[in-house]
Amino acid sequence: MSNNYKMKKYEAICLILIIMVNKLILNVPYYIIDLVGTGALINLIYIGVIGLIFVLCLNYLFQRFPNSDIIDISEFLGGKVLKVIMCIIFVAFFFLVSYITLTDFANMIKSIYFDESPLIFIMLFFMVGIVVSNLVGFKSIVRTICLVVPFTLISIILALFAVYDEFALDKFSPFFGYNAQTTFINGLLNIFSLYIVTYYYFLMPLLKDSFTFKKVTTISYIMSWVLLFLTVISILTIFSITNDTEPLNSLYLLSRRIELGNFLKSLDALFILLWLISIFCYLSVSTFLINRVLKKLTNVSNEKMLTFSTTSIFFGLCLVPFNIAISRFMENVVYRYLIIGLIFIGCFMILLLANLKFKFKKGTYEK
Amino acid sequence: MNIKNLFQQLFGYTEQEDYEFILPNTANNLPESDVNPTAEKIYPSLSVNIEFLKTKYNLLINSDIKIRKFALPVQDKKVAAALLFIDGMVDESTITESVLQPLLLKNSITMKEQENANKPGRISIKNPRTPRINLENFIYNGLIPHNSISKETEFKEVVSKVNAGFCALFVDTVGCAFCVETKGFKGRSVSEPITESIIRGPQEAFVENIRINTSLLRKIINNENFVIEEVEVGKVSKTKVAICYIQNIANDDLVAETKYRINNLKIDSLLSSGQLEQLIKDNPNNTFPQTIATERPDRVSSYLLSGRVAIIVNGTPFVLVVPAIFIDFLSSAEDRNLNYHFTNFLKFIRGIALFFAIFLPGLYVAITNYHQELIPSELLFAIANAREAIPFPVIFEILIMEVSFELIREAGLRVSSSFSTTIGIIGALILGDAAVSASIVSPILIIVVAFTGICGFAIPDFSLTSSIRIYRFFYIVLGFLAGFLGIALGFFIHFILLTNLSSFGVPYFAPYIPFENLNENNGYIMKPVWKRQRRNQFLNTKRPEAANKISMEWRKHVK
Repeated sequence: MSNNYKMKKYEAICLILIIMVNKLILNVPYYIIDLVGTGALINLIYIGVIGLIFVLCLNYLFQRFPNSDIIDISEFLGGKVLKVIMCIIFVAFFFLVSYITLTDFANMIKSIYFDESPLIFIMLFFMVGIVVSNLVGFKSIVRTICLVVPFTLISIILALFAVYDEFALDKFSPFFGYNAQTTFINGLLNIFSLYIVTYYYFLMPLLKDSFTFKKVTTISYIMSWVLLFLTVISILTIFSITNDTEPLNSLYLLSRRIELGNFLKSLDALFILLWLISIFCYLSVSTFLINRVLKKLTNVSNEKMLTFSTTSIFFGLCLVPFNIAISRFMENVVYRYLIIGLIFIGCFMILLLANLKFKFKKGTYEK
Repeated sequence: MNIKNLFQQLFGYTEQEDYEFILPNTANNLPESDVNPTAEKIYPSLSVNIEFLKTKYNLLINSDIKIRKFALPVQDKKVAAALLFIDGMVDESTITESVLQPLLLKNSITMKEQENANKPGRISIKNPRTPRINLENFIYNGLIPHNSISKETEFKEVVSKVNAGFCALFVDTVGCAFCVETKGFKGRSVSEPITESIIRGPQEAFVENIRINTSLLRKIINNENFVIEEVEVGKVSKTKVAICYIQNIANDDLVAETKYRINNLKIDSLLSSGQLEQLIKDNPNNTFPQTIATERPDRVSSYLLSGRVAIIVNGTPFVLVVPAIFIDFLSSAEDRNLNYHFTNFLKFIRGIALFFAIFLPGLYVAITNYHQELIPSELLFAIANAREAIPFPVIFEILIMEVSFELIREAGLRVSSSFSTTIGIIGALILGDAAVSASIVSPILIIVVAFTGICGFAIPDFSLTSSIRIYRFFYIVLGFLAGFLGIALGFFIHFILLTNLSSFGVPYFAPYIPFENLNENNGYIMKPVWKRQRRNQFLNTKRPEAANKISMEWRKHVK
């Protein structure tokens, strides 16, 4: 069975949205607020505009490389050496991001429902899901995402609307947060929250029609940003901002506030059910991308055969015992700077230079 | 082992070989020529022909093969002849009236008249020599007054026709056989549908006879473009299979693919459409149904008119329709006959039924074990109170009940209807009363299992219900293992497998996944009949328009 399924426009948008949804579930809004306080709203608008300009630039730069991802472009720019380096970096990057996502979510699930179960037991369930989905194929993963996304979005919007009666403008003051420097200069680091940009570098060859790339990236970016913005508003409405606030799974806590009359008062488990499925989808996509990059690195015929080895490594990585401080450090610092350094600077530079090379050696690039 | 080989073994992709089952020491596999007789010419000698047929049909042990020998009067001679037919497959009165009577009686009268004409005293012109007649043409043109008669020179054709209900006439000195259509199968007549009964709509169902089934379809679709192609499947059984489609609507590739799959079945026998379904579906290992099986001619006609292909198997009252999508299995034959508001309400109910039929027992286990906060306090106390005296854990309790329910259902289906009522009563008493009184199960669990069962019955398609019954157990186990985490895993894998399905090139969740324009398709929600102007886009039919844009033209003429 081949794994060369090409996505339609709306499928690609759904794929990007599911990645954003997972970031919302896993505390990204908290880290934004943690850095800039009540200035998060202004900060989000600010980085949103910067991010949009960045995405438009990406669209422009990718025009010369239809059906190519960042690995192919690296090869064009720096030959095999740069290709291998980029492959290794991205494999490590996706492993790290998946690791952070899984450990964070598994810990959350464990603390809520499985206090007495070992973490390995919870993680095994995710591994089974990843293996099966990747063995069946990318087509099924994408189609399942299309099915899950509407329900997940509804769940998030419901969670956001749960706090509408507590909405008050004074909860967002001071609008500029701690100070202008923190909001606009240090706050620039919050651009990591637009992590979805990473996937734009790999999207082009997965699209059925490469000319839809521009629409897909722009629409998915705007939708993701709106979701992020609404989530941050809701969290600011509910939780007081102090410097020593412990990380909390803010969306989960929001969902706990939903009540349907006096009868159904605690519906958070249903939200967790939906979010669990979206985590499965997200991890499957990440594993698929790891396999895809590894395929380019190793020239294997079918990346599906890599699924077992990839998942085994991933599972082994997840079992490495880290204390909570290291885990938080990786989430808050390593992850943040890695995304900014690799995605927003490194890959962008490669794309830019590849365009310049293309311009000077016109016609030498082969698809 | 060098490094290259090691890497090749670790990362190299090798095509999976097909599984081949070899049964040790076995029966002699007959050569192909024995299974399919080679073309042998019919001999001019009757005795040789009869000996050949006796061997071919194992006449010594075969009781229903009949050979009626007689002397055929021709001119002044009597020629030996024999009639071959299979008892039970022919209409005896047709044989007597249309074959034997003309051959024996009418021919004798004609000869007598001829003799009288030659007697002295009558005005006649006596030929010095009686002209020789061509016996083959004489029988074919003058003796058998039947509309369907053919001359066959090879045994293969004769055997094939006799097997289909024809009778074959062999005459001495003639090197061919006359095959006369005398079909008269004994079978049940057209009756009401048993598994798809509806209130408003036709009350006819298919039967086992392929010809009656095709005529039932022809009765509804009066169009010259309605094509019924017949093929034979099974080297031994030679089962007739009819592929039906409307030529100017159905996609040519779909028709070709259907014919290709059916024509490339290398099997000895085909006994039912259920067997054929498993042989031609895209993903045979998936338990979810991928072809529609229905016993209703009106339903099949509707699908044919929408551009699908129907497959009728001789001997089965269930007709297959391809391609099939998931929402087809939640549709009833009743839907088209009702007001669309009510139809959509029923479809909504069926959707809920589907959800509960799969998930309810699993969710019950998950919620009671891991997510008690979902249950309102009053209800939680009631459940806890009911379970107080139960010695088993919830998983054990629910498995007992589900297995008992399946047992009762299976027993009820396998015995005659008079016994099934008894089994139902016993089962209900045991499950509903005795089990609760004995503190084996809690009353709330009875409600859960009974409600799940009712939801299963509300799903119109039997194949889908069967599939759900299996998955239900998986969800129970997963819910027990890890609550909603297990349910989520099951749901995720389930959908990964289902979205991978397709039926004859059409994705299983069309037109929703991948999403198609709903203006060009008829989705799960039924549009009013006057708005169903287009055939489903995913079928790529030759005629996308099913009705004019304004189908109710009379509305235009309102003064």
